Amino acid sequence: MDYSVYDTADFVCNDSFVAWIQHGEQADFWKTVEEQYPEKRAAMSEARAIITAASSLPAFTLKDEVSAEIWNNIRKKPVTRWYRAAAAAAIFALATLWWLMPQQSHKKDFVYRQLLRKAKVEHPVEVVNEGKKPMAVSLPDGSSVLLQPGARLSYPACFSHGCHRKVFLSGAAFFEIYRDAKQPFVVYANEMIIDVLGTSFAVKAYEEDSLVELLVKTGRVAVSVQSTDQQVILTANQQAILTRSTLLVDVTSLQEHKPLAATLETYSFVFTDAPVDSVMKTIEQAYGVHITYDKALLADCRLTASLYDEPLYEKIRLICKALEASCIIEGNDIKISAKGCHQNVIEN
Amino acid sequence: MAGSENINQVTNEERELWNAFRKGNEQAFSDIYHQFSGTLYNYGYHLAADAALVQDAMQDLFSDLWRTRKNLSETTSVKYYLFRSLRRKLHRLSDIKQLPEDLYPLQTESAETLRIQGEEDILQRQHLQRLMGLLPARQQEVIRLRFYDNFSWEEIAGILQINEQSVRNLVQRAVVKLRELW
Repeated sequence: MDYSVYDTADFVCNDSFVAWIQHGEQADFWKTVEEQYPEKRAAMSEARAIITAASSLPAFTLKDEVSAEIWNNIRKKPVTRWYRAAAAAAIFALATLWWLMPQQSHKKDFVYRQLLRKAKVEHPVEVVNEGKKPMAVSLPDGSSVLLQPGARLSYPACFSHGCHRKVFLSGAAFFEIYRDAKQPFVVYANEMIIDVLGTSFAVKAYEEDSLVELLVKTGRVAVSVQSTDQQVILTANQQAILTRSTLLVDVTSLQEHKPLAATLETYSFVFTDAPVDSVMKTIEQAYGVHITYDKALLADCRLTASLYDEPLYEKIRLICKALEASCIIEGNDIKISAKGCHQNVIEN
Repeated sequence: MAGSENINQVTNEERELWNAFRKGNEQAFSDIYHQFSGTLYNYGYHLAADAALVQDAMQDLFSDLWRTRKNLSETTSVKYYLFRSLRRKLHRLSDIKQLPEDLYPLQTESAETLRIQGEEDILQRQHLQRLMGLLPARQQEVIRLRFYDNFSWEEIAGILQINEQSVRNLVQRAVVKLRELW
């Protein structure tokens, strides 16, 4: 065989070459070819990379319980199939109605609506920030989200009670996720899918923007893109920008982008021997919440705390613990009842 | 990482399983279902990107299989037979010529497993896999059938109902495109 005319595609299409890459078959033969045709090494190495990547493409997995359900249906009498079709048609009709209705009033949320529809989220809980200030939202699992003006967020009613922790975002928001390795937390933002374990990050996903931006403050997240097999891992102080027209993701480090790093500082909560008053003010400003407490009683109190990616309510809980106070949280209103204080240190 | 079994040549075991099923052995039928449901679902989802639709098609496929078992012939490859049938079913149930546009669900590789693997090593592979996701649907399908599901050129031609040369041409074009994007 004359391999001098071979190009990358020819190697990719050669069954014996593929068997060598995949299973190590005929290794001696192909090593000889490599030696005989040194000018073909580049093509061979490209072919190898393509075959290796294609052989390990990410897969969609069929959950055991779904597989079992299909199996049960197969073993049933064919009559049931008729009901299934009717039920599917009814659900489709309802979904179409549901999808058509809000479309008129939320032109800017088309993609977001579509995401919700496709994920078949039943009875979503939706929060919209119609005000001019950021709005703190507490999720049922203890995570917190700071919604920027105009942003909207949805999640299934069964959130964290059996169904996955997934939320849908239109607009900009800062997330602090409650760590739960057993229940992954997923954010759908336009075409970007952010898979989180426990971390904090900011997302900008405006329907009319050509980019979807993600800034990771702490921890690690996996970012994937709808309809593609892309997946990238982001660590602290990294940024991912998804170009919506090409669906390609670029990752950059924040060290190279000082101004961006500065924006994350807005969400930094490191206090050293700080007056309680200033701690409360910082939190009020960052989260747009209102904190009520006896200012005279706590006037001389000081706090030392390093709070990073805890959700807002976890931060409040830690502060209350340090102050030996009791806290009541009602939406954006937080009431702290303390008896006084000594030197307070929050150990995190 | 999922994928890459050996080439799908029919083994004696598989042939016996298939013949037992044809004679009405329910255990053999169950074995066939459980052996192939995962890989069939993966293939179907890449074609239709609609979980409910793929599940319905699989249900129909296996129900038909059981009903018509007496009329089935010996097979060269059970997997080939199932893939080809599923593709037909999906074609009938929906227009799958369009690119899947449904939500891409979570990958089987979680952030945790990626963390464990050598990241250096997987960077190039991930990059290429990302590029493969940008290829036209048909080129993606052929690449997946050839290298992920390990079908022969002839089998792929049979599944797609085109000739073998067209299958090779699709791969050639995919490689050219990948090299452009690289």
